[in-house]
Amino acid sequence: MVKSIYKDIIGAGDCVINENDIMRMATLAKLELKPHEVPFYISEVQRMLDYAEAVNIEDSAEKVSEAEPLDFNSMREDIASESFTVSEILSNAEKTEGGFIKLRKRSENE
Amino acid sequence: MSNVIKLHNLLLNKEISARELAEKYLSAINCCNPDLNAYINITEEDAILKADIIDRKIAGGEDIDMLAGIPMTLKDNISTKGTETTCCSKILEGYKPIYNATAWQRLKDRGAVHLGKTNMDEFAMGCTCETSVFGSSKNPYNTDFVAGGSSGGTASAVSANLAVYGIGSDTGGSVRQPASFCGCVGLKPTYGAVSRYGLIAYASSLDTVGVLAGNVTDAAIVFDRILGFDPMDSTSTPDFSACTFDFLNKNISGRKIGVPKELLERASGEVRDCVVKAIGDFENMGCEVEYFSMPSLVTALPAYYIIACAEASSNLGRYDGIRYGNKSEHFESIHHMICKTRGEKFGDEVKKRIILGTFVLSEGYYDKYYAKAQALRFELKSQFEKVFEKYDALITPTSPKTAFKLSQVQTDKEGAFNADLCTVPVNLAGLPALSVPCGKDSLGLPIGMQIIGNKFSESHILNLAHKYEEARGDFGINNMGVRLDV
Amino acid sequence: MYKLTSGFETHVELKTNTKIFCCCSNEFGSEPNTRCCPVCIGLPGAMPRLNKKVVEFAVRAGLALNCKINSLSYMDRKNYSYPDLPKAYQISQYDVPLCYEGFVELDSGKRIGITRIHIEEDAGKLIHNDAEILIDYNRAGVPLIEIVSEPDIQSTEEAKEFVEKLRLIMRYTEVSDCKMQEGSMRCDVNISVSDTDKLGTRTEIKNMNSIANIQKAMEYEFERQIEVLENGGSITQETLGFDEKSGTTYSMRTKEDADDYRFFREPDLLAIHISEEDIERIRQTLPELPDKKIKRYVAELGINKKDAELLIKYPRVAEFFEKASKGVNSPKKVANFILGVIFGFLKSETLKEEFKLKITPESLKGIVLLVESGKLNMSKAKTTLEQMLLSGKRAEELLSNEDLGGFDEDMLLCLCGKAIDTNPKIVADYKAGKDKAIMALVGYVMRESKGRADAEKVKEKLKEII
Repeated sequence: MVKSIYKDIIGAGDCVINENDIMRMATLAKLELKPHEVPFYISEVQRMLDYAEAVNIEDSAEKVSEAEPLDFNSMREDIASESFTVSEILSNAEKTEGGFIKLRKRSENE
Repeated sequence: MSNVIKLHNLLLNKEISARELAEKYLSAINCCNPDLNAYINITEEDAILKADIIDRKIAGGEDIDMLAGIPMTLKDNISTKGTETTCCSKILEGYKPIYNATAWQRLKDRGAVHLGKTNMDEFAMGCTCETSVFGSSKNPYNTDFVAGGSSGGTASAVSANLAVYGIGSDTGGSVRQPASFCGCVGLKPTYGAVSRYGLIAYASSLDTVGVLAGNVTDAAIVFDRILGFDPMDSTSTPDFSACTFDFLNKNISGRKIGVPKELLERASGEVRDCVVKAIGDFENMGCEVEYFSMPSLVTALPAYYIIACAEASSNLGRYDGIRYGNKSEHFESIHHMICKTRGEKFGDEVKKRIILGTFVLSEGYYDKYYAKAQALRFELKSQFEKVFEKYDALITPTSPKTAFKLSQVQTDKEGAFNADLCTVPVNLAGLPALSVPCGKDSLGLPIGMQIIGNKFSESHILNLAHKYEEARGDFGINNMGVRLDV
Repeated sequence: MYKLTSGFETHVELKTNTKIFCCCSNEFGSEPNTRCCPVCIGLPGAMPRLNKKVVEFAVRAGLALNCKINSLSYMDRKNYSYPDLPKAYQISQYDVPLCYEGFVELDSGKRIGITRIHIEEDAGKLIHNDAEILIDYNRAGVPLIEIVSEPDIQSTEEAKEFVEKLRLIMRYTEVSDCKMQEGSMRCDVNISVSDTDKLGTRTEIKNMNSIANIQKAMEYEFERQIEVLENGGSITQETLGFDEKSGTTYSMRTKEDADDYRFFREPDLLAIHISEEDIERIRQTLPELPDKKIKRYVAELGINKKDAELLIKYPRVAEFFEKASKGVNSPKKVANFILGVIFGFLKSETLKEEFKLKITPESLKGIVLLVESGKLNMSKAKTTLEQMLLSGKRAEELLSNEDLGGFDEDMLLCLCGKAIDTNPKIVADYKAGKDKAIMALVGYVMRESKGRADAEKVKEKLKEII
């Protein structure tokens, strides 16, 4: 279906995603995927990768892949300003203790 | 034609109070929002409070800004201190920022009356507003159709007169496309012109804070007040200042307009005809129009997906429920908690993009995809530079088609992918662009025309759009929301 | 014969006022989460802003380590997930660091190459309890430089010398306190063994926070790797920790578990430009470095090498010494006072490092000048100095006019003559061969002079006369 619009420019689509790839990426990205979800992600990511393959059509010679950096520095002076209060910093954390953010190592048993 | 100016004068002349104005809008939201689902969080108390402050200032004879007391909305990825900001995702349920986004702060300082947060695709990933955890926003012209995305709720609200203007974000077309679908004006500024500090990041090198309004003049008034250097954002442009409002009425005769053929060719017949007609109107106003070819515009789309997903996979890594947001209830270790939380609380579209983004950055694939996409991007940038040596502005359709039907993109994946075709090249190149309504299709759904300018040429494209608007005449829904024609 | 090959990755916390990407204060200590803001705790929408002092300090460190400086360098994201890393990525530098190709020269003349130095942010601190982890983000965003050495180190002695020299140079440039025990300097040690010309598989021992532990860990790992190889096994490339109590290394992660960091350019920051002028300006602000100081003390100030090494070991001591020696005939005397009396007074390493004294370099110089002019003898000078260190009183307050009256040649001659005249028996004894007898005459002169005479001079004079 993709190819109908891109048939004039899309390439061989030589990258095929399998379950291992999805699981490896999910591990790196810290996403728990349920077993029944995996086929869905394989097909969706494959489809997106097929679209993305279009970038490899032009077998261009060494193209510059770094932008001309802007010719000014964007840095600040080393001057301290008031930090936020502890209560503000902790305001969105579920559990805190003595000024620390507390993270249980395992959920409480019911 | 400007709602802001009209209302500002009413306030100054004490023909209406800011409180009455706020109440009118809040009541309209009460009435219309159940059908549209534009707002996902209405800040009634805060709005009235702010309105009262403006009324006191007016009573005291103090000078007030043009935007003071004017009711507006913010997309739910703009950080609002003390008010829940969720990016319409479960994982940020309950998150209340401890600071304001700069763009919002600048409007707040001028007395803006914030009515509430509007709906969006989860983490701005989508083109129909249907990936939101709050459900989709509907098109005010026909509620069987989507409002567009990702700033769908914001566009729907503005279009339905439930806010005078809104602040959204545009990463691949997320302000322009819903503006086009909903028949309002959407402005995406030059990358760096408006501070991103406080805009919850999707793709950092593409994200911009944009404006949605009922007409070009209002968009200009708002843009003038949010633009400019912010030391909190290292990518914001130093020394950028502009007063686009003063430029709106400049004579546009003699301006050179380029029309890239590839984008017109890929639009539906109705959209194409409508945009071509609008281009004709520019010719009638004395502009020189030239059709030309720019094939790299089409490969921009896959390059965009790679770069956007890559940056998103990194930007969204921080959502783990530890310092903020929602976490899973049952887990056996911290690692498990993080994975489970992210697996449960992110929607499918977000997870898909994170996985793809992780993939294109990973060892062995970085050069093939990410580096290649960046190379194409820089090629596109330099091509645009050449193009703008010839032309003052480019005109394209904003979107190849009009609004999708609800749930259509679940099966029409190709259509979803291509919805951004005309808008993403602008984000890749960091250029300013806007969408202005130019007609309707046979179903009565709005069609938008996109005007693209060279970097920092917002004054020019707003000028062109304003002149077009004048020539075009009225456009918009007058029987919904707050009626300002009375 | 198994050869040891080792390289170090050293993280040094920079002593700037603020963190690397936000204006939160960069002090040590303080209550948890009291030096934080949306940027350093990674709140959605927050963005980094690079502290220019961090870049300057990194360039200083690079120049002090003989590095080349990249006039254009970039910040990159290193993506991985851990509770102490708020954004789930660390902003660091990947392929274009600020500094590269430097070296540290050991005493033997051998150079340990410095591959690169880059800037990055530190993570927060975790406290592990049984049921939970407590997180403090004060340290998140603290600026670090990572100094990566070539695998040129071939013994634990070289490692010790390398780390000590590195630490001292960093302290002299004042970019960091380098207090290993406080964690402001941490080393990751890469180590491999081989009995051929080829390098063996290396392991990495992380977060070493004392030189003693580094040596122990290296020794243990060296032996361990040899044992594995001798038994026909192979070394797994892995990350190890060092258990101080047992003196052994233990596995933390293998390469298979290693993260793919998915480095890419940090889109929220611009490239870093450093001009030749900037580099020159920073070079001009570099102080004289330890090795140069030692050479100069030996060659120009008449200090012996061992004493020089002791003086420069503590930057504040060296500074004090140099100030006190200006305009003095014998800097060696100044050195002796410092290494003898003052060091005797400041017994611990910490006290010597802090070198907080109740006296100024000028007052020490004053004492030395008095000795050189003959107005004060050595033993009186020492006791006076001790009193000054204790009480904070100045020399003028402690010494009377009489003490300072000096003891000139005439007085000396007169008192020696008096001693000889009043002690004929002792003189006779001395002439008869009892050398020690002269000490009794010296004693007489010392008593008569109320301790002002210089014992050595008296002895010489008496011998002359007799």
